[in-house]
Amino acid sequence: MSRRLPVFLLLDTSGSMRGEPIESVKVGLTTMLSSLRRDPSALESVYISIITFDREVKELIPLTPLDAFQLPDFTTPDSGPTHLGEALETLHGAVLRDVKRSTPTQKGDWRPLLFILTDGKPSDSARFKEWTPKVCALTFGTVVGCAAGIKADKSSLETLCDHVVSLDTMDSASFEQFFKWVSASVAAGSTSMGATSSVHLPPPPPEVNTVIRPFRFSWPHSAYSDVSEKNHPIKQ
Amino acid sequence: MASFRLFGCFRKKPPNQTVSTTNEENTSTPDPDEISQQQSCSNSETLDSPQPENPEAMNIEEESETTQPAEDPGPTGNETTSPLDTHQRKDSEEETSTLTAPADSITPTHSSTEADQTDSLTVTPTEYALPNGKDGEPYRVEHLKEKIFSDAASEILTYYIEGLDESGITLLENEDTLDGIPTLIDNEPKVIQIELFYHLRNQERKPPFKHKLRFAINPDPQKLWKNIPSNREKPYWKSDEDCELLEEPGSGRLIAASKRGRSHAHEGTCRDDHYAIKYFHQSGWWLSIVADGAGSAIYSRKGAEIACTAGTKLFEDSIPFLDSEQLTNAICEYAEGSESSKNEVFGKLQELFIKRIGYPVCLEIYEHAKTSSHKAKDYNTTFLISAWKKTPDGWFVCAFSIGDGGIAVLHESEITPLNKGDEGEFSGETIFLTSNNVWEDSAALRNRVKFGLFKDVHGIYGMSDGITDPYFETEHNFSQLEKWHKFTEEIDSHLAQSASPEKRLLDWMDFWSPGNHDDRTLTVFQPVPPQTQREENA
Repeated sequence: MSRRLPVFLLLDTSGSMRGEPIESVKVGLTTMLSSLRRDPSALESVYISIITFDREVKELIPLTPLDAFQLPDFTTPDSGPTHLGEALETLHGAVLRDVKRSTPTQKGDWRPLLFILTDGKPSDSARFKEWTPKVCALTFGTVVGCAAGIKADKSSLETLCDHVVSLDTMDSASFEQFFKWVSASVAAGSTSMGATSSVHLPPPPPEVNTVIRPFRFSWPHSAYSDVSEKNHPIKQ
Repeated sequence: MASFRLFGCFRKKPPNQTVSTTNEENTSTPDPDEISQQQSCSNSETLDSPQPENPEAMNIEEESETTQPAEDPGPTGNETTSPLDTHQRKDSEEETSTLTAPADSITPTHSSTEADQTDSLTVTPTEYALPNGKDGEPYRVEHLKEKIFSDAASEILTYYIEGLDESGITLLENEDTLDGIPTLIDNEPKVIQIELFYHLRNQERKPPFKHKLRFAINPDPQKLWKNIPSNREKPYWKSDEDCELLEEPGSGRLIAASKRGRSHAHEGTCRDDHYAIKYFHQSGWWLSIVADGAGSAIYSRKGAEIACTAGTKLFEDSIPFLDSEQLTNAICEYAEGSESSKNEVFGKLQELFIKRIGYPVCLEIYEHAKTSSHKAKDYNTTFLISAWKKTPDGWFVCAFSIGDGGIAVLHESEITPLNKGDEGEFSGETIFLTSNNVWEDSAALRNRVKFGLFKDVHGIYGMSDGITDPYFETEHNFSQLEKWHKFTEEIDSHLAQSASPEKRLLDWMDFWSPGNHDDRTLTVFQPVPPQTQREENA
């Protein structure tokens, strides 16, 4: 079997996403799927999982190969809390269960990618704080947070993500641009991943404001990090 | 999980229900009111009450669209204008006006004026989603009725499908099967939206019910790969492929080939792999170096090249050390089984590969980076070096490696790997010649040095992960003889009887393996078979 690039999408489906925002997300996802399907490398390696969170957390689609993927329908409650903390817990379980790591007898997956989209802030903040470090310890290739609309809480995303972008409006044009950028990032991941524990993201389009400038995130506990010149004998 | 039930006059839906509240609420059991109304209408029975409102939900694939309800019951449909009917109508209008209107809304309200119970039968399609297809690949879905209607399939009298026209797929009505070979224009992925119209038993004269389904046709990734030549203006440009043959009568031949991977060809970027092979006539040593520049490092192609050229030069300088009387004698005694000599050989080879070759090569890359005002990690590369020489006791082979890829000797129907590929926790992750943690861990560093004496050598191989990933996948497989048999059979049959085996090797490297499109580099040493050798000597 071909090596997989697992891509996890955590999508906010709370009441405030109801109506145009969630429809726009669907349009955006549709665009993302069709542009990924034009990329041979993505077609052969990308697996997508969708986890939605509102007052309930649902693993809507477990890791599914891009070529077999079919966009699900989303349901949004009238109102209620945004359980992003619980979503992280569900994600954590899904990653441990489904993402393969290399062993002498098993070829590992590519380092997984995580994209989180929310228009609010975690209502279960204690749980969110509890699960943030655990999700960080899963060492994703990149974690991108998208704060959609003015009410989205960027600061909590910043504790979790190595990139946070924001959308001023929650219309389909904005989401479409965001998901186009996601697919470009995923495609970049599927062709150039390897060797380092980070993914170079393409610059986001103008509709997508970068809150944190993209930087290369290296995991301190990875034995396979790049050489740091500071420590190298030649510099000492 | 199909459900179907018999309705009396109508199916009631909350009038204000909006789109996005779908499945859950609608799969709930109808409220007692609803049931009592149904019963009061026609005494029909609810066979299976949970009824997904939006069976198509799982099939919605591309842009959301408004969903039309099936044709209204026509003039023959005994349309009535009861308040309930108006209710239903309002509902439908709402659905069409919203983006994600549930697809079915296909419970046409037949009045009970005909007093025919079967007349008002309705079935609910399952959530079955048609699988996606692939350009140029046969597509076939059998037992369609059963898949879409499950237990209620027997209630379907006839059905037909619209929307397949340009898909390359047709409905074989008699076989209840979708069949065909979908084709795409210019490899553009496509979403096929179809409408399945069906008549229920005893309702031939009614307008058909409608069920919408969608599936995608994916391009064949094989057709999507582009081959864009690399830009010669780029710094450190190198050819997209390279190959070489060294032959030494009485000893053997060493064939090398290196080819740019599809992932690079698709982007028009340069090959990052490099190799060097050499035969040193005076001493009789053969040398192979394979270096794989990191995909993430901008000038890794140069790093790999430096590793090869500097490695070759430093090896050549070290031949007197290798051929010293002390080491030659130690190898002889090691051949006789002396443990102390084995340690002596090991010690000497550590000095050779770590002090005399490996580390100086690493420093050379640092020097180059410094003078070019770049970072050393921009030149990240793996380094796999192996050298061998014929001795009276067989082939003495020694190797040293940093990073992924493989070195192995196939001999006497046995496979002996001479390295342990450095693999990270995830795919494609490894360490490099230029990684400082490699040089800090001296115990691990010593274990990178391997050697052995081999009789009846079939081949000595050095390869980048562009070859090990598709052919061996894991460290375990790399030591499995059956995997090697498949590999060497392919190589041998390709190289046999060829005047230019290096070109044949290059051709072979075009092999197709999904998801494995890295640069590919392989060096193969084939000793002259003993029999041929005798003939030559004669």
